Amino acid sequence: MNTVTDLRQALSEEVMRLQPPAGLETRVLHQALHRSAAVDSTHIGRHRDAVRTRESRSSEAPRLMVLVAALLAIAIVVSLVFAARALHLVGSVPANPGPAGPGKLGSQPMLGINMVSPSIGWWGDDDGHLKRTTDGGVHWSDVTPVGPSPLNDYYIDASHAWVVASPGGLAPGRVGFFATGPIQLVTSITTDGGRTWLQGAAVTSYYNNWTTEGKYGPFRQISLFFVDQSNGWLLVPTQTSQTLYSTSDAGLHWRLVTEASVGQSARCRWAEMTFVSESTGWMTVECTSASDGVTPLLVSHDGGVTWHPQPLPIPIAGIDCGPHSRCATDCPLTGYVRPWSGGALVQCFGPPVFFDPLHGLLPVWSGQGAHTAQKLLITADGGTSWSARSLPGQVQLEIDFTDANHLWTIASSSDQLSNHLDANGGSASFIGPSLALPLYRTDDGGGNWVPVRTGVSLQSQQYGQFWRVQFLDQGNGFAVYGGTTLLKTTDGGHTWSVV
Amino acid sequence: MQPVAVLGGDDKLLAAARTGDQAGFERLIEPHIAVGYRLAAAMLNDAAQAEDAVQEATLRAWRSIGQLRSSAQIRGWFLTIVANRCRSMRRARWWSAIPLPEARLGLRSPADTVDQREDLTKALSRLSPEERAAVFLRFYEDLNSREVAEALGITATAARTRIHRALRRLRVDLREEGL
Repeated sequence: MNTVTDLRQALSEEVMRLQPPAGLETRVLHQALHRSAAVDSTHIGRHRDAVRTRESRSSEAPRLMVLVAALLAIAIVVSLVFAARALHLVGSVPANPGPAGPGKLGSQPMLGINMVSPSIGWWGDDDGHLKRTTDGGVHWSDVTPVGPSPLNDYYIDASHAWVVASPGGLAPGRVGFFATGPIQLVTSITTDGGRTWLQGAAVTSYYNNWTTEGKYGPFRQISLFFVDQSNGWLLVPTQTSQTLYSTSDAGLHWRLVTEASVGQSARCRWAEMTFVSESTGWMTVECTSASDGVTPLLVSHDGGVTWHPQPLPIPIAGIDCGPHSRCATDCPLTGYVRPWSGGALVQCFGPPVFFDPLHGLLPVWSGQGAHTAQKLLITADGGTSWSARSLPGQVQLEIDFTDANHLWTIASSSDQLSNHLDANGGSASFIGPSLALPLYRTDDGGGNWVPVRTGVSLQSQQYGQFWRVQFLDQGNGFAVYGGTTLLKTTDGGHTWSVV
Repeated sequence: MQPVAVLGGDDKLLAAARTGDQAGFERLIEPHIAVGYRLAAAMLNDAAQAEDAVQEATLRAWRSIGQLRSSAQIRGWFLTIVANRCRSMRRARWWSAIPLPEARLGLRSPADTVDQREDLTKALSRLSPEERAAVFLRFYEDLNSREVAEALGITATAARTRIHRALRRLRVDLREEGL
C-alpha cells in the first residue's frame, strides 16, 4: 500500500519529467497574443463593446461599403419579413452583412470543415462562427446569422444549412459557464448559402453544468439532422433526459416526437442520429458508466417515435467500460473509442452513413486491451441486413467514402503503425522509418484494397496528423493536417497541397 | 451616485485587461501559465501537446477576459480553460500519436528502480486523463476539492469521488487523507 507521501513524490517525478520548458511563459504569451492580433484583431474589441453584429474577421471594408451592405441587409430583412408573414413564418433575420474577404484562419481548429464540392464548403468553428468558402477553402466568409452564436450546425448541400442557437446568450467560447436551468433554442435556416436566414420556432431545452467551450465540446448534446430540405430532427437535452423533435418545414416549426429512455441509471444518452428517410433512422447510444444490456445502436421505422435495437452481424459487447468509465464519453466526437478497457472489449459505433435509400456503411471501432480492430459493416437493403467488409492493414487511422463502392483509409501494418496502447491510458506509438503516407482505396466496397502512391513522405508518427480525410469524388479530396492546415488533392490522393 | 469599488492590484490589472490592455493581461496570466502547463501535461502526457494546449488556453483567456468577474478567480478560471482545451485535443481523434515508450525510457528517474515507486508511477500513467488531472491538482498543486472541481468543471462531490476512486486505484492509503 502506498502513502500519500509516496504519491506526492511520484507526482513530483512526473512533473520533473514534464517540466515546463525554458521560457514557456514568454513564448506562450507571445505566440498566443500574436496569434490573437493576427487572426482576430477585432475580437477583443467586439467583446469589450458588446457589439452584437458579426463581421468577416479579416474584412476591412470601407464604411461606405458597410453602409451600403447594411441598407441592403435592411432591404433583405424587410422583404424576408413580408415573405415570412406570407408564409406564416415565425421570424426572419438577416445574414451577416459583411462581404467575403481573405480570411484563411490558419490557426483556428479546422475540424469542423465540411466541403460539399471542390469549391464550396462550410466551417462551423469553435467560436460559434459559421463560415463558407466558394474557392476551395482559400477564403472563408463569415455567414453566421445575426444573433446568438450557434451551438451546432448542419448542412446538406451548398445552399441549405441550419444552425441552432440560444437567444439566452449561451454560446460557444463561454468557458467556465457552470449553471443549470431551462433555455430556449432557436433554429435558423438558410437556403441561399448563408446570405439570408429565416428563424424558426423555439423549443425548450435544459442546460446542466455545460462547459461551453467549443463547437466540439458538450454542445454535441444539441444535434440536428436533415434528410432533405424540409424534413429534419432536433435532439436536445431536458432536465432528466433528452427530447427528439421533428420538422417537415425545414425547421420553422418543431413537433415533439419522443423522449429518450435509455439506461438513465448508467448515465446513458442518445448521442448521434442519422436518418435515411422520413421514417427510418438510427441513433447511437453512449454511456458514462458501465451499462450492460444497453444496446449501442437503435433503429426507428416510424420517424423516431419508437426505437429498437439494431441487429448486427458482429458480437455486441454492450457499453461496458469496465472499471473505467471514460470510453463511451469519448465515443461520439469522432465516432471512435479508445481501447483502454483494461481487458474488456469496448466498442463504439459511428452512426450509419447512407449514400442512397438502400446503400450505407456503418463503422465500428473495437478495442480490447492493447488490440484494436475496426470493422466496416455495409448494407444494400436500407439497413435491414448488414455484412462485414475487410479493411487493409492492422491499424486504420481514417476512413472516408464517397459512395458505397469507393472508400479510402490510412492504414498500415502493426509494425509501421504500432498500436502501442497501454491497457488503460491508450497512447498510440507510431514507429518505423519515414514512408509515404499509407493511403489505400477500394472501388468495390471493400472487396479489394489497393495502395495509393502518395507523394507525402512523413515520419510515421505524423500519419496521425491527417484528420478529417474527406473525398468528394474519385479525384477531389480534402484533409486537415495537424488540426489547422487544410490540404487538398485533385488526383485521388496521390499528391496533396496546402490550400 | 454610484459606489466606487476600491480595486486591488490584480483587480486593476483585470480592469485594464478587460479594456484591451495586453500588458495587464500578461501580468495577470503569467503566474498561472506554468501550473496550466503542468495540468495539461498531466492530462495529455506529452510536453509538446501540453504547450500547445496552454497556448490555446491563453489565447482563449485573452479573448474571454471580459467574462472574468474577479482576479481572485483567475487561477481556477484559467485552469478550466486549459482542461477544456486538453479535452478538445484528446477528443480530436480516437487516439493520439504520442511516442510513449521511447520518450519515457530516457527520462526515468533513479527512483524508478524501486519496485513500489515504479508500480505507483505505472499506476499513475494508467489513470484516465481526468483522474490524473484531479490527483495532480489535489496532491501536487494542493488545490482543495472545490478548486479541483472548479478547474475540471465538475461538482465538488464529483471531484472528491474522482480523487477517491483514483487513490483506490493507485493503492494509496486513504486513511492518511481522511477519505
